[in-house]
Amino acid sequence: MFDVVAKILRYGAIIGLSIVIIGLIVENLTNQSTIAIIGLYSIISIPIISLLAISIQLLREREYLYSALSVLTIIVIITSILLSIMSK
Amino acid sequence: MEMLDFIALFAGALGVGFVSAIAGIGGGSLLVPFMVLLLGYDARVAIAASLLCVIITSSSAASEYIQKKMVDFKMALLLEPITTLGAIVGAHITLSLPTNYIEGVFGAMLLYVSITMLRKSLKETTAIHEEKNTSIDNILWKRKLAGLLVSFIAGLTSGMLGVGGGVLKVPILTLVMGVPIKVAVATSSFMIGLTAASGEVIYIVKGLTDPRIVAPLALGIIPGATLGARYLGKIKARYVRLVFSLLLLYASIRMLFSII
Repeated sequence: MFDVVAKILRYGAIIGLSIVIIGLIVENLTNQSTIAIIGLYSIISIPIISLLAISIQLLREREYLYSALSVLTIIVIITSILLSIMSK
Repeated sequence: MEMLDFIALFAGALGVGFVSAIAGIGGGSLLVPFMVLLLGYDARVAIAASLLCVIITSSSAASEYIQKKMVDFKMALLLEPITTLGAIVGAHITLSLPTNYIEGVFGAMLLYVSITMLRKSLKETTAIHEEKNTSIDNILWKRKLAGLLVSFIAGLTSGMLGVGGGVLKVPILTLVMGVPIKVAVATSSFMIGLTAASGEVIYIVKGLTDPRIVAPLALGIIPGATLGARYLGKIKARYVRLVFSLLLLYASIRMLFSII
């Protein structure tokens, strides 16, 4: 049922870390840190994407309250990101 | 970054992963003092790097627990919005405090962890109460309220100090919400990743997370923890806990003194 969430967490961590490492190699060669930063963002997005998957699964199971709670958590995180960017 | 720094971070993270798996504590409470006291990094940079490592390690652990169907998602979702909020507030507090104050607060938290570890290793009578699994709908609202309050503090600690916060989350789930210990550890592991991600976002946006520091740490902590888990039965965890609780006690005193 929640196997997708387990896969997102497992492979997401590996992919995110790989992007960071590739980014560091690119940074050494070209002085461009964009890929490494994308890697960092992909690592922090893993739990958030897994939360989205849980929310969809709970919606399918008609567990509206808990689906809403997971959406609420995502909203709190996104609001925080936007506020941090704006105050930068 | 010098090659020597890379090796020092990698080797340190390898050791931290190994010890934290054996001692049963989160890597963050060891990583931050290692980086601040031994390698001389700024506390905020160490906290940011530690939080990212917490996400990576908890993601792989939570994935195992989810496959074994040990995570109580409803319980996690009930507590997570307020924990997330706590982590965001915690990260902002760290950004607004002077470095020596952050080190002092971290020292106080470390003192608590080291004393708990010391007591555990001296007693070694960790009787685990296998409570009957309580349905989330049957938990009294007073307990839910208490759980939410302590969850906020757990989030605050995580975002502020770069730790997973399992040291608070597992007791909330077992003692307040009546969740069996194994389910509590699995659920806490899933929650830790989310809480750490919400705190880490702030540090990345503020430019405090350095991928050149994160990469060797993450590359070291994963095999370290795997090795630690493999040697768990072969090494006397009690003695490891005893030695490291004394080391943590020393580190906590040094960090507490940074306020003065």
